Amino acid sequence: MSNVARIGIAAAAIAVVVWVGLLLFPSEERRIHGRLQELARAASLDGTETQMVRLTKAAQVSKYFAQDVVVDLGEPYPPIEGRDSLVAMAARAGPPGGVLQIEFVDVEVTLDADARTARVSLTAKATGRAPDGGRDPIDARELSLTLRKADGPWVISRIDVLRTLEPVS
Amino acid sequence: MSAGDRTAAHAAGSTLRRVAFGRNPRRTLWRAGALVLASVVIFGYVLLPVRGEGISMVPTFQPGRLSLVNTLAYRWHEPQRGDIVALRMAGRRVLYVKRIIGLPGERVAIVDGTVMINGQGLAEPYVTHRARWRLPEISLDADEYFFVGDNRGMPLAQHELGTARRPRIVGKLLL
Repeated sequence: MSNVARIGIAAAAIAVVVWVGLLLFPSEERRIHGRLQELARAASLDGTETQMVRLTKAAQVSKYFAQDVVVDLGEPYPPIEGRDSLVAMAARAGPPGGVLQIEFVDVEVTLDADARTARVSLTAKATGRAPDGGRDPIDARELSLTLRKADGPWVISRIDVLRTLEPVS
Repeated sequence: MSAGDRTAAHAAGSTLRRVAFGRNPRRTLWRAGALVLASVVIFGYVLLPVRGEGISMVPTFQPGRLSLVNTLAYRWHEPQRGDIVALRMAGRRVLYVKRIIGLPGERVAIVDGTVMINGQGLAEPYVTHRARWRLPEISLDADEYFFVGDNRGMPLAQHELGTARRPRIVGKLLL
């Protein structure tokens, strides 16, 4: 076997070991990434859900938030305080056509020194369905999240909706 | 298969290999690899592909239209009034596309749909329909720009416009 082949096989073996290690022992940042992707999938609707299913989904989404979560939408809207209020609003809100795909992109996680609090910046994209069946972008917002970890998975304790363009009042 | 048939088949196979891989397959492989690497670098970091969504830049930039953002456009000079630029949100996967109408240090207002820069009306030939927007005058900071879309016929309340600082600008759109 040539040296090049030996080096190639060794590199591939190392890559597999690293990959398995990351899979079995994910870092807290990766856990948070995964948690947010779960939330995006749980909050999305494909338009076939009944009202009962949508209420159930809204309740499932609640487990990703702290009981005392605060959502600051920025002026002139008052903040949404408490998980129950947030879930109730989400259950009432309905996208046009019943389809809503939520996607979190450009996710950056910064862990605090105690590794029990994290700050996340991301862009949240909401897409619906156009009359012709294609994608219809609804909105995209830059969010700053604060997550904390008590005795279980990471939960969102605060959401700040940031303005890319500062409005003129 | 006769000897003649085998020779013909071998020649056809050689021609096909030469067309597919060139006379020197190793060099072809290196060239293909270089092309892939160059494409990744160029379209990942220098010329960012973007697809329009939303109507705020109509008619200049239609929804669904593809374009490229030149991230090196402002390496040697600052953004200019009238430039159509991409603004980053949390990152570069989702970008705002807006036009610069106010430069740092200027006073900007909108009076009955006309943009006023330091008290003077701004000529905007790219605006085809103009609603009677009104915005109070603001003064831009040293590294602050004013951005607005070209679709001035839509209600002001539905149009995202405002100020942002220089670091938000990712690059200039190549239309």
